[in-house]
Amino acid sequence: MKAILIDDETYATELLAIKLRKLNLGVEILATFNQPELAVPYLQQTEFDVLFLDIEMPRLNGFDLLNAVGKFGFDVIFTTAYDKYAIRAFRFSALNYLLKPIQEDELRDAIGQWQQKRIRQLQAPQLALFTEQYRAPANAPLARMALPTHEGHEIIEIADIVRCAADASYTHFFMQNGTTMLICRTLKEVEQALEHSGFVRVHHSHLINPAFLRRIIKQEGGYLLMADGAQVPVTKPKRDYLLEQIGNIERR
Amino acid sequence: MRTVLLIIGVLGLLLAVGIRASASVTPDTLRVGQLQHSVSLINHVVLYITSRAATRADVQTLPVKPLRPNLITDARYAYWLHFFLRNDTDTAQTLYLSGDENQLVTLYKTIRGQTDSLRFGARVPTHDWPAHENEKYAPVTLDSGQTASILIRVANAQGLLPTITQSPLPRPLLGLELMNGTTRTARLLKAWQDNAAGLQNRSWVEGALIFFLFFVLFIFARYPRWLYGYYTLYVLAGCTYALLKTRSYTPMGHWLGQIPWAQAHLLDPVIWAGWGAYLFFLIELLMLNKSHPLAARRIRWFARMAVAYSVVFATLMLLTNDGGVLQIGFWLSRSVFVTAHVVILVWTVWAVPSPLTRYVLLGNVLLTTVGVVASLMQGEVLTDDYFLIAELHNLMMLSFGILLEIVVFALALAYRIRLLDAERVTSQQAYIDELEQRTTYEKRIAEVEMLALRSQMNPHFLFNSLNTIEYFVLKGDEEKATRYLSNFSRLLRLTLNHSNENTVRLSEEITGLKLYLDLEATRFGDEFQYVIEADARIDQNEVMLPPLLLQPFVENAIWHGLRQSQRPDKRLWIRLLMRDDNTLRFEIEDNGIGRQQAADLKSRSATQRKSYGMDITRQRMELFNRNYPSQISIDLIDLDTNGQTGTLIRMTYQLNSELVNERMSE
Repeated sequence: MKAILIDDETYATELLAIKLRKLNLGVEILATFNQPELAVPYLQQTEFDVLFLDIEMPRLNGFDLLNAVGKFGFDVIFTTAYDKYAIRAFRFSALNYLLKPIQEDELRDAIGQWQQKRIRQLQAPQLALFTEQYRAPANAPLARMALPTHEGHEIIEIADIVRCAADASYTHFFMQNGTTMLICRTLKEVEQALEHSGFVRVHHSHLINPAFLRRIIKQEGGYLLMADGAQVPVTKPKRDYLLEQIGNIERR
Repeated sequence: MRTVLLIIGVLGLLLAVGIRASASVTPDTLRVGQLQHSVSLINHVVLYITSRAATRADVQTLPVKPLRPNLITDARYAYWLHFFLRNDTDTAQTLYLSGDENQLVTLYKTIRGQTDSLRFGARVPTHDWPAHENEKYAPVTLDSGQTASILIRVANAQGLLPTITQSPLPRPLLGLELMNGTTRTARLLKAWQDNAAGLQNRSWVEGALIFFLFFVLFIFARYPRWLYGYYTLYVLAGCTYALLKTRSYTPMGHWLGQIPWAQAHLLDPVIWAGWGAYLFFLIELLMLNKSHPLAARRIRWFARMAVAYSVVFATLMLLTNDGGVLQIGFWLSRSVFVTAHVVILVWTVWAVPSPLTRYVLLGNVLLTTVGVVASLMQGEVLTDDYFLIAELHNLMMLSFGILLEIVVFALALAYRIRLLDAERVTSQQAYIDELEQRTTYEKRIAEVEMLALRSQMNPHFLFNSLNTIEYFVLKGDEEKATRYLSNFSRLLRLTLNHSNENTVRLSEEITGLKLYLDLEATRFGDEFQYVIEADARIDQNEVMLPPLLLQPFVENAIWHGLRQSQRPDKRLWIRLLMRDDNTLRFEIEDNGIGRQQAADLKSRSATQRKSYGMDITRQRMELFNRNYPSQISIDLIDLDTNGQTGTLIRMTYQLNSELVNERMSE
C-alpha cells in the first residue's frame, strides 16, 4: 500500500510517518509534503493508494488541493485536529478521516478497512457533496448523502430513506422506492449523520424516518408500522417520544 | 362784616336752642295702650353717655341729654336710654324691645324699686337669650296698671384686655324700637320667609362641605401626604367659614350662638388661614418645589404670613374686641393678601404650563364670580328682582363659591393622580425596559466572554499542540517535549484563570501572548520570529485590559499573515507604546501577505467559512467601552512599502482617570 502524507506542519507528517512505521502494516510512504501547492503536480503524476491529507493548511487547504488535483486514482484519509463542520460533512459524504493526535488503533482500523476492499477510490461527486455540505449553515438539515457500497458510492436523497436497520457493523438502508442497500457503516455512525434530519433511533438496531411512520401499535410489546409495510420494534420511551413529536390528541 | 355778624347770630341762636332743649329734657312715659305696632325710642328717651366701666348707679348722677336722631355714637362709650312704660290696659301685656345689631344691650326694668335686668344682642350666648327665637328681642312684661322705669344700656362688648386703638368703631346703634307681640311675630315670620331659600341653600352647601371634609380627612388618613393635608385644611377652613355664617335662628345657629365671639372674630382669620392652606396646596398640586423653587419659596412665605396674621388677629380680637384693630386688619389683609392672590394666580397661569393650572384658574374664577355677585347683592347693588328661577340667586354666597372651588380642586387632585399614575406606569415601563436591556446586555457580555475564551481555547490549537507534544515524545526529544508541555499547561492555566475575570493586568496578558507565540513558533518549526517591545514607562502591573484582547490579533497575524507567506524572514512585532500620560498604544505588526492577499486566497477557496474571531473582539471592545471609563479603539493599517506587505494593528487605549474617580465616588 503506497501512501503520500501532506500536512503543513513538519512535525505532523513526521509523526504520522513514525506511527505508520511502528504499525508495520506494509504502508510504503512515497512522499511527504509540507507545502501543499508543491504536492499538486506530484499527485497528478504518481500512482499510489492512499493520501493522508491535512485540511487546515495555509494558501491551499485540503479540499482546494484535491480540487486542484482534479482526478483521483487514490483514496483519501483526511487528518484534522478539529473542524466540526468538516467532520459533519465527512459523515454525509462517506469520506474517511482521522483526528489528530491520531490514535494508533484508529489508524490501524482505517488501513485495515482499506486493505480489506482495495477497490476504494475517491470520487468527484463525493467531493462535491462534501463541499456542498461543508458550506451549509450549521445545523441545517442536509438534502443528500453518499453511501459507501461495494460498487463505490451511492448518492441518495435523505428524504427518500424510510428506515435503517443494523446488521452487525453494516447497515441496511430501506428506500422509498423499495430498493435496499447494505453499507459498511455502523448504525451509530448513520444515526450521527442523520439525527439533524429528524431521524429517530427507535430501537437498538433500528433508525426510522418519522415521515414514513404510519401506525404506532401498543400491543405485543409495541411496534411501529412503516409506510413500506415493515414492522419496526420500538422501545416505550421512544414510542412516547414519537407521540409527543407527532402531536397527539390528548384526553383532557 | 355782615356775613360774620350773620354767622355769630346763627350760632347764638343755635346755642340758645340747645340750652333750652337740655333744660327741658325729661323721659317720656309710653303707654302700652297707645302702641299700635312699634315705636322708635328716639324722641321718647333721655340719654346718658358714660364710660363703659360705669354702672347703673353712676348713671343716676349724670346730667341727662335728649337723644337726637343725628347723634354720632362712639365705641368707647356706653349709652343709656331712659323712659317710662305704663300698662294702661286691663290685662298684663308683653312688649318687645329690639336691640338692633348691637353687640350687647342690657335692659333694666324697675317697678316700685324692684329692678330686673335682661341681656341680649349679638355677643350674648344662646342660653342667655331672653327670647328663644333669636338674640335681637327682649320681652318686657307689665301687669295691668303697672308703670316701669326702663333703662337700656347700649354698648360694645368688652374684651379681657383694654382696647389698643382709640377707635370709635364699631358705633353702637341707638335705633331701638319697642313693639307689641303681633308686630314682633310678623317680623320674625317675614325674616323667615325672606331667608327660607337662603337657609335651604346654606344647609346643603354646609352639608356638602362637611361631607367633603370627612371625605378628604379619610383620604388624608389613608395617604398622609402634604398635598392631601393642605387640601383638608383648606376644606376645613371653607367648612368652618360656612358654619360660622349660619343664621342664628337655625338650630345650627343656636348651637353656634353658645360661642358668640367665634362668629364675631373668627370669620376673617378662617378666611386667611384658609388662603394660606390654599397656597400650600397650590405649591403641592402644581409641584412648584421642583419646577419653580424660587416662586414656591415666595408663595410659601405669603402662606405663612397669612396663617400668622390669622392667629395674631384672632388673638387680638378675642382679647380686646377692638374695633380699630378690626378696621386695620380688615383693610390691611384685603389689600395685601388679595393683591398677592391675584399676582400669584396670574403668575401661575402665565408661568406654570401644567394642565392642572386650568383647574386652579377655573376654581378661582368660580369663587371670585360668586364672591363678587354675593357682595354686590349684599350691598344691594344687585337686587333680588333680577334673578333666577327657584330663587337660585340665593345661592350667591361666598360659601357656595368656596364649595365650587373645592369641587374643582378635587377634580384637579383626581387629574393629578391620573397624571402621576401615567407617569409611574411610564417610568415603571422604562425601568422594566432598562432591566430587560441590562439582562440582555449582561447576557451578551457573558456570551462574548465565552466566545473569546473558546477562541483562545481553540480546539484546533489544543489538539495540534497535543500532536506536537506527541511528536517530541515519540521522537525521544525529552527536553523539547517537557518545555512545550509546560508552556502549554501554563497557557491553559492562565487562560482558564482569566476567563473568570473582567479585566486582567497588561503584564499577564503579555505573559499569555509570549507563551502562545512560543508554542506556535515551535510548532511551525521556528518559521517565524517575534519581538515584544515595551516602553519602560508603562507600568504593566497597573494597566488593566479585558482578558485575551490582543490574542486574536496575534493569532490572525500568524494564520492569515505569516503562515500564508512564503518569504523566509517572517516576523511579528508587538509594541507597547506610551503616547502620553493617559494614552497607551499597542501595535501588532506582521510582515505577512497582507489583508488584501489573504482575502483573495480565501475567495479562491471552494470551502470558505466566515471567521468570527474579529467580530467577537470588536464586540468585546464595544462592551468594554460601554462598561468602563477607559476607551479602546482600533485601527487596521495595511502596510505595503516596495512590495513588502504586512498588516499593522494599532490599538489605542485611552485611560480616563477622571471618569474612574467619578465612578468610584458614585
